Amino acid sequence: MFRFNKKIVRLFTFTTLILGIISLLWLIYDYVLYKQLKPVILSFGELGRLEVLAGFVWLSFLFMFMVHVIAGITVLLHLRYFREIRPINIVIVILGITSFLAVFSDWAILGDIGKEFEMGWDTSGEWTILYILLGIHAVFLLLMTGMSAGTLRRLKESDTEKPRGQKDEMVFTVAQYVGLICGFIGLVWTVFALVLSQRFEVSYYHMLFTSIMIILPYGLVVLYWFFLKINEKIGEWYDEKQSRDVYRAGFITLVITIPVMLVLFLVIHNDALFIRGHYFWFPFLIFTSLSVFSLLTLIYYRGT
Amino acid sequence: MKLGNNIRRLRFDQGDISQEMLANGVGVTRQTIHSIEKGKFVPSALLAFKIALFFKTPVDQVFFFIAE
Repeated sequence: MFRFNKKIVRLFTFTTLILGIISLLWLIYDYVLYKQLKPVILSFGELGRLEVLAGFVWLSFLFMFMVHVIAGITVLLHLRYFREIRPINIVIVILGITSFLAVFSDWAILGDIGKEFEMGWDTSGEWTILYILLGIHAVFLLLMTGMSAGTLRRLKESDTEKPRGQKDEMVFTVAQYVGLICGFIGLVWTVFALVLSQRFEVSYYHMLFTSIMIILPYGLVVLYWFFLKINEKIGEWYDEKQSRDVYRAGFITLVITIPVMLVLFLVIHNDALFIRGHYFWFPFLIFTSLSVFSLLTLIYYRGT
Repeated sequence: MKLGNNIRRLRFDQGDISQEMLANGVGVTRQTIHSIEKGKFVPSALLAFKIALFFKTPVDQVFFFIAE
């Protein structure tokens, strides 16, 4: 079985700490540049040297993407090493996923601003969203950096890894939280895109790409969990209570999603809602199932 | 009929055994032991015997019926 030793945990924590500090500095750069760029773009002025400086903002998105992936691995390593889920871990996971998805939104919105600027359209709404996303990144990075610093101190104090239980519940619980968050964000996004599609073109490929991005954090956690379980027999992946909770959650999810599917079928068949983009049913169903299943598993597992 | 248990008492009688230690001893999660202790989850016969074996006690000393 693959085991994480203290050196690996420390290496990832230290890397996250350094990358977090660099990202925070880069966010300040982005903020300062937005402040200069916004009035020029809103008044359709000459961009001049700002256009060159904006190139570093694009670069920061690539960097932020990498930081989020490494931060995600670090959080998982912490959970495996310390074997405890504290409220701060849950907050960081929620903010981390939101911030990770916001990197793609940053990219898309800044691209939209560029296009709309060339067409002579008003972009004040996009700027507001851009600032909100900047705030989400900042809060996540501050918490993540703080937690990394705290963890490095904890690692100095504790000499040994907390003994690993025969049945892992850390990754199991985190997977449900991540599933719930991804499902909920995906559901909100699908409904938003559906409303948007009645006025604007939301292409099939755009919907496919964004849905994959939204479900990616859940996919990675499940993959990680699968990787941990690969040497065990399938029957031993869960203990008997986990099995019962997963079966119950799965059954009720099925019961709930059947009427949802029926409603979707009737709506699509009668062209009642989906004027454009009949493909919305699929992400809607996936995200509904994921949200319901993860929520119910968490309720059963923690509550009974 | 409900299933009652003496797991909590046995844990403390036998030297402050934590839920986690018991969970590791019988191969389940800590949450499962917590739920059994609270009477929210009824374990399988196999798990009930494993828990009794862990405490080196007959199974009817660990689990008992409660008439409602």
